[in-house]
Amino acid sequence: MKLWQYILRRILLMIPLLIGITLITFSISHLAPGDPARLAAGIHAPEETVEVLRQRLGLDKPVFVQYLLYMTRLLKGDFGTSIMTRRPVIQDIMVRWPGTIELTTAAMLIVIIFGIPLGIFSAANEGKPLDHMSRIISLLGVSTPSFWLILIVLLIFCKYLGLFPIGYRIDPTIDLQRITGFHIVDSILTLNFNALISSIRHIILPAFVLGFQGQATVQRLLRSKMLESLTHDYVKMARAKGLSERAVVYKHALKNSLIPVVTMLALMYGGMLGGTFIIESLFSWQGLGRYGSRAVLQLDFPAIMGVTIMYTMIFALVNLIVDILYAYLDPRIIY
Amino acid sequence: MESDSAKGLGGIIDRHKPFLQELRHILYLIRRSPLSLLGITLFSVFLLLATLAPYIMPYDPFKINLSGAFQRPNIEHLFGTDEMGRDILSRILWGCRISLQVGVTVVLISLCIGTILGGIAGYVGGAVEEIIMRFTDLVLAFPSLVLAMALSAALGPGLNNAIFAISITWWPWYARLIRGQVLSIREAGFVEAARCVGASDFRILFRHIIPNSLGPIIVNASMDFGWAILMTSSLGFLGIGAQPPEPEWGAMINAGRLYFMDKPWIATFPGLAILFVVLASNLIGDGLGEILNPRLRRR
Repeated sequence: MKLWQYILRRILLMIPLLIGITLITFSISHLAPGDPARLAAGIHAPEETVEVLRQRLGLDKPVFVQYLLYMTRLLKGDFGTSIMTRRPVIQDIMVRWPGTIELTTAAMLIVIIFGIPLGIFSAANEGKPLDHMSRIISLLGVSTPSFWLILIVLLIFCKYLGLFPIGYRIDPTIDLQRITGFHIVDSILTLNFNALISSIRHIILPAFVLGFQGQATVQRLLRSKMLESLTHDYVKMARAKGLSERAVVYKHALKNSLIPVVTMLALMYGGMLGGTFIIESLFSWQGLGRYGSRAVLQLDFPAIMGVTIMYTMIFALVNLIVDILYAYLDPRIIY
Repeated sequence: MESDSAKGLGGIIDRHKPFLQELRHILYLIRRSPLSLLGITLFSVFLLLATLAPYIMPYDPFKINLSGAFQRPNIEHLFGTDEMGRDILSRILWGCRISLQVGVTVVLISLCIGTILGGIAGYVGGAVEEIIMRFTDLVLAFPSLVLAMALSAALGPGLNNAIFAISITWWPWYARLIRGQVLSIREAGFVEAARCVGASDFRILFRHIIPNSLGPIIVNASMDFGWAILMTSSLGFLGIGAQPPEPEWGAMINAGRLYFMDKPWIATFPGLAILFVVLASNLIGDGLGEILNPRLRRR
């Protein structure tokens, strides 16, 4: 099978996945207490309106018919109307998703920039004091509750040091033309340097906090994989050939340890998407996470399900990309 | 030396000699690894605090005293008081019990579901395996905190619902692990032997295969213990897990976040408590992982 055939197969496999995902979200919203028609119409709506809405949403039909109706609505991009904003959920999502992707991707950069070098460093200096120190730091990183870390970081960097602005994706007084919705990309495209600097200053803290746990995880995984690789025969062989320690560590051990790290990075993207619920609400970041966490508190089910489906689809897409990368990185994989 | 003491206890020790030797070797390795010792010590401290909480709490953790609200840490209230004048130290001690219970419950529920489904999938194979594993993949397709939030929103806020929601998002990892283990053990000699003496499939799976595949699972379980506490406190922090006045650490931080800029002690101490419990669990998991990984072990 060729690479493109593999990619095609993976894309086709997304279809049953989507059916499964919607089945689960559909069942979850059915678990929810209360009458969905009443919730959608509003608490004070008259009984007739509720009845009309019930028929329009097909809530009086058998469950499997309801699921089919739900599916057709989803395929048309109709996620229902949000109870909090009184607007179609899909519109709310379209406005907010770039913010979340921008934040998560920036956090991923932090993970890669810090996690990989620290992991290599730790493994190369195994058992020395510096290794112990970086291990302890990474363990602390994995163990710190992110919502608490944010409070501490806000206190230190924003209140005491005043280094970073609190809240929002960009200084509200700066005018930025919306092209892609990604503030950093937009400000580069429109050559608006004030906006670029402001949006970078706004993204640093939340991205750092979101990536902090992840970088510690990557560091730990890479360290243990490197140490494992270093015991293999091919490493002994490389040493016996008289290769320098540098070449042994970076060329032989590192290359073979990076594959599980790539898998981990894909999984982590999902974890960080979950993390945006907390980070975005604490930083007043205009994104899906803040929207989702407000929806959860107000039991706004159309919005909750919309965000859940959206997040799961982003996650599935990231996994797809990584799987393709993976097939490229590891020639042993027969697709 | 060992055989001398064994004589008194008859054949029992003799019969389990390989196991005891293994145990001794593991204890020896634990002693040699300072980080896992630190983890075990930390964990024991929390366990002790949770057990003794009703006797050592200086105040009632639920007692509201509005005139004594927002006290800085002082001699009477070592960790200060919160917005309702409740003693934070007492609440943290009481919260120890909640957190340890949460960790154990989540790990046990997900381990049980995962073991049964993963074990059956690996042992039976065929269409059953296909169905179970595809369902597992499906649950894993959701970012776990997102699914847990959606589920607990649907079930209604509360600690028990949060525990249930988190377990539902976490068992697939165990199912995958157990299935892999079962697949590798299924053809082992001792399984064949059990089959020859006429043991039922149920007995072979649950008495022979699964007990022998628990090694790597214990490592995961000890790390997941801390992870479960982190997740539950995240839900508590978001306001959909434990509800006030329950002194769950995440919910306490949520209550303290409004005042954090001026009165940081309210949220700082519960955060430190979470940090140290999770740290203990990670240290233990890390140490066990190193001990049980044969490649890193005998170097």
